[in-house]
Amino acid sequence: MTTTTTQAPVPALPRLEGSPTGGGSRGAFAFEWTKLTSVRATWWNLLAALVLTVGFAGMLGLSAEASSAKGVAVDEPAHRLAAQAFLVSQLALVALATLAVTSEYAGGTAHATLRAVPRRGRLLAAKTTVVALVVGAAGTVLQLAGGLTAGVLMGGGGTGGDGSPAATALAVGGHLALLAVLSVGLAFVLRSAAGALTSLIMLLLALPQLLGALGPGWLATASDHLPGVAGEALTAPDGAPYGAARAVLVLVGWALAAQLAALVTLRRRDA
Amino acid sequence: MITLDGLSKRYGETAVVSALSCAIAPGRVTGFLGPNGAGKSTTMRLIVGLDTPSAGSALIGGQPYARLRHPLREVGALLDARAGHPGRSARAHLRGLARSNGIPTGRVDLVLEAVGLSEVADRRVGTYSLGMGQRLGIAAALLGDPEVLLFDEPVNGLDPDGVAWVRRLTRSLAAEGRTVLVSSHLLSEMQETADHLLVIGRGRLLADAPVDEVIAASSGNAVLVRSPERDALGTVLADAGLTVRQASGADGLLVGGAACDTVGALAFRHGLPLRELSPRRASLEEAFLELTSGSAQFTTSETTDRTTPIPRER
Ligand SMILES: Nc1ncnc2c1ncn2[C@@H]1O[C@H](COP(=O)(O)OP(=O)(O)OP(=O)(O)O)[C@@H](O)[C@H]1O
Ligand SMILES: [Mg+2]
Repeated sequence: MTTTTTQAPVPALPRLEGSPTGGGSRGAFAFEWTKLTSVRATWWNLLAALVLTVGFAGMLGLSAEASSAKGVAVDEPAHRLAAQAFLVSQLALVALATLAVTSEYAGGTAHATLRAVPRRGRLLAAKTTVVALVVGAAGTVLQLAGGLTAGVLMGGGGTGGDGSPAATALAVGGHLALLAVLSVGLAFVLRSAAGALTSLIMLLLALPQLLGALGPGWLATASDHLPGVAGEALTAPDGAPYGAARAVLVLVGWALAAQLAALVTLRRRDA
Repeated sequence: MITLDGLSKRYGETAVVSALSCAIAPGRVTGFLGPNGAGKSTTMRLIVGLDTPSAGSALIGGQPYARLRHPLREVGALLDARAGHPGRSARAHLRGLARSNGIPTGRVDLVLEAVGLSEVADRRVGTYSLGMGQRLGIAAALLGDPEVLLFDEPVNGLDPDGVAWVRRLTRSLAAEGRTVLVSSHLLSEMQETADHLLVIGRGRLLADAPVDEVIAASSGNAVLVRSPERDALGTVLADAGLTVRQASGADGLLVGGAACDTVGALAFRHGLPLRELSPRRASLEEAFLELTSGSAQFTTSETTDRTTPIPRER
């Protein structure tokens, strides 16, 4: 490494003139945006989500086309079919949200971040907003792309049913944004990628299956109120245990609970 | 100005920092010394609010860190060797920090230049060497042009050129009237860099004094005297209540607790010839080892028992 320091006069650095401006919540937001967009992991996760969504939506479209060729009519519209792809691809976006937090603890930047934005509530709000916006926007766009892909591969089929593609895309985006809020909160509590991702996969995929299969009515009711089930109720309303309004409430409840736990952890526990 | 008032930190049962009270004044380099595990890094973390004190407080210009509106413009710190996300470039790391505190992003290139990282600024931090990481940490500390600077072992991993640069940097920052707190285990370096010392052992304050005073208090300060009549001189000096030790050479004595003129006068009065009479100043290292002898936690067997070799594996 060549350095310019050899006989560099000190101070080589001019003073910062003018009284400080900016910073605050907007500064914290810009900071989080810069951090999220300047690591490769974010872009890899977005790419993975794209491949998974479009890939699975395409497969679902093809199999629907095959079914109708055999005379089994598919009455689900392409966008509804495509939304099922997120059962898998949501994990890439959940990983994006989780890593945005845990990589700071693993890589040692958590300290630098907290020194730049020492107000814990402000930091949490900024990180959550940026991640939720990115994940929500990605979810919306990916759902539109998935719906188009499925529609093309289904040929003429799958035009029935209710709901517009735009409404489904917004529902998917909203669902994923709330999942991101939940993931960020949980990641601040657990601080490790392994711990947070395992818990989220349990919560989103494994628990609904387990609780539903176990039997007792109250367990099934509890299972219905897990975030994964609420998400399905929002994005694929047919056969859901409750309507969209309740689904949003359930998701918001989970997200808020995780955020509250994160705030308490950030304030109480040493960095 | 940093003010510690009864600052204490416990982790479970162990008190890591115990009732530290002192003021770290602007305009000078304050060296922060203590054996491994003494609580230096913990104290610095408490000052910037990364850890919450169990009791007491640490204030910066009268305010707790978390209350500062633009903290990076008031306090710059190099605390961990790992300064940035391994997958992010140094430039992106600094740019993010600048945005968080309303620092013009043009400042990023200036600090990169100042620490000598301009050419590698777009490389991922994960590919940096230890010393480059350390330089990035210093760049981040200087980013907001702060009045208070905390450096935890800043020369760790730096080449000799870098060590000299950090010495000049810390001196010039203090000369500009800033508050500079530097921890280090390199005592000879500290002796040259610091004006004032804060010495802690097992979390307790052992000394808060100018470097010269700390050294002056050491029993290593002595008078070296050489005389062909060494033994007779030794008896005379001991009878006068001075502590006398043998020095190197067949004719040398080290006399503690006295000045040259006392020793010279005693020798003259008893008609003893002298070959040399000179003051011997203790090093900071001697003073430090004496100060902390009771509180070093992780001593090697060598210091307690020189005769026990480590058994070799067969
Ligand atoms: N999070 C923690 N949990 C429990 N103990 C801790 C924690 N952080 C530090 N300690 C303990 O506190 C003591 C002081 O550690 P600290 O890092 O402050 O020492 P130091 O003076 O910086 O030492 P060194 O010279 O080795 O850097 C050590 O015994 C350490 O094990
Ligand atoms: Mg330390």
